Amino acid sequence: MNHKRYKKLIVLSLYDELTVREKEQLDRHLAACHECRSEIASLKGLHHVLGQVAPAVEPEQMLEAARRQFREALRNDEQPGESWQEKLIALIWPNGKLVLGGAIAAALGVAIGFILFHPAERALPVHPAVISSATGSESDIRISNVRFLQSNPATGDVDFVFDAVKSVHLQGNIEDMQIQKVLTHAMLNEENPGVRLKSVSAMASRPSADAQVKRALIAALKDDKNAAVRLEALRGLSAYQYDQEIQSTLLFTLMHDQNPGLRIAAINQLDSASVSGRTIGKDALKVLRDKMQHDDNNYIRLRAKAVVQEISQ
Amino acid sequence: MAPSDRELIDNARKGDMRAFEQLVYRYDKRVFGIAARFVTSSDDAKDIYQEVFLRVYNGLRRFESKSEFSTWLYRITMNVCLTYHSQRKHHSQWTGSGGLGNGDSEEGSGRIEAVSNDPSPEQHAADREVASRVEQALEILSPKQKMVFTLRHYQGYKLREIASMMKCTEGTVKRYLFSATQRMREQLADVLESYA
Repeated sequence: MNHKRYKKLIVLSLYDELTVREKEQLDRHLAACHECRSEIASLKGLHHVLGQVAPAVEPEQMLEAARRQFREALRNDEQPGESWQEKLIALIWPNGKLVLGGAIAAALGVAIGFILFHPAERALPVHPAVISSATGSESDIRISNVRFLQSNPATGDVDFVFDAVKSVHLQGNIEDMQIQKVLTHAMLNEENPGVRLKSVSAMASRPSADAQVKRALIAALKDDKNAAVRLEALRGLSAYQYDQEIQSTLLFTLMHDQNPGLRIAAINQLDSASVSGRTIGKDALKVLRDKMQHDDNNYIRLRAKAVVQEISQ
Repeated sequence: MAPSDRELIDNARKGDMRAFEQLVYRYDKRVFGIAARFVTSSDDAKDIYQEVFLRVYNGLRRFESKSEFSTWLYRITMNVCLTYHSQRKHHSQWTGSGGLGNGDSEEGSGRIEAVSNDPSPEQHAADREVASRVEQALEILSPKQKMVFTLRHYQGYKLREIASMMKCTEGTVKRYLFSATQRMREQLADVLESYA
């Protein structure tokens, strides 16, 4: 066996990756070879230096943030077919064209707006949700967020994307499906937490027949960064019929929400469900028992204990 | 008793999102840890996390259970990490920016930190310098060398486990480890002298 091979065995020996036979061979060789003894000393020095530092431990919040981001991506991935934005545009302007491209039509800026092309004289179809729409020329369009994809100064070719926003005024009743869809989108995607809160409050005022709305409330409860929005979403869900999906969501909040107010609200909802005669399954009991022993918050521990005792009677 | 991976996969395939979530949460801390060791920003780690689990979600129907779910998952993680690295490098070449994300910063990105218990400011400064140098040395490794080195040295995976994740032979993994070790030693030669 040559030195090159022994030097490789030395690297592996420091990670305890040698077979018994290899270890014996190496030990015999080291006893007789000064060069390899120097090599192992040098590598031990490297390990010593590397041992003075370590990769930073990712805080739990970072993992939670990654989870939230993934859940949002999953929601966007689950919506095939023509988007509701495209359906709404087609409803309002049946022959409208999107002059600035489908990608821009799908992007909503900070305000809720749509890209549209509207011949000035065309009469709008009557629809309960729309009392007026923005009209006018492309000069009314607000351009922002220009992103270059490619740029070749030699040929003059450019390829870029930008957001173009035009205001639309919608007025109607919360029970209108199109209104619900706009508010659902706002609830999940608006950057301003005040707008998200108002959207959730509006949606929470009465339960919707649209399953997507319920799912959006669940998503807001699980993923919104703002505790007030999450609390409002939880209140909104209390108006829906208690089922396995809602119970799972309440348990999720109880297990993962960093805000004690939310965890308390989740326990209270579970308690209300139990008092109303709903079945609280073994999973829920398990979580409540865990909380009664391990939650950081004393009140939550006491509350969880009280609910467990109630359910167990 | 907790459901097995097999049970969760079967339920997830039927549309049970809760089962899919449970499956994800069973392994995602490790996946995130691998991603975070491999890149230099937490945003990149989150992007890798998302890409990995989207691939799992979309590929679950095709997963044939010939291997363990964890093996399949970690292979996807490896592929995404290595693809991410080469895409970032290509993008930075196209835009003319100097390096990969925060990796070319002389200060480092803070992904490596000192573990010394000595609270003195002098020791803290010295340790920060070492941490920064180690980070820079890791950035000079090739993606596969870096992957093997961080998985073996910092995360304690056995070489046969790494070979399984990377879908290559143990011999290949050993070669990456040797090369990585040599390069790390070269890059840190002056630091090693001061510790000798």
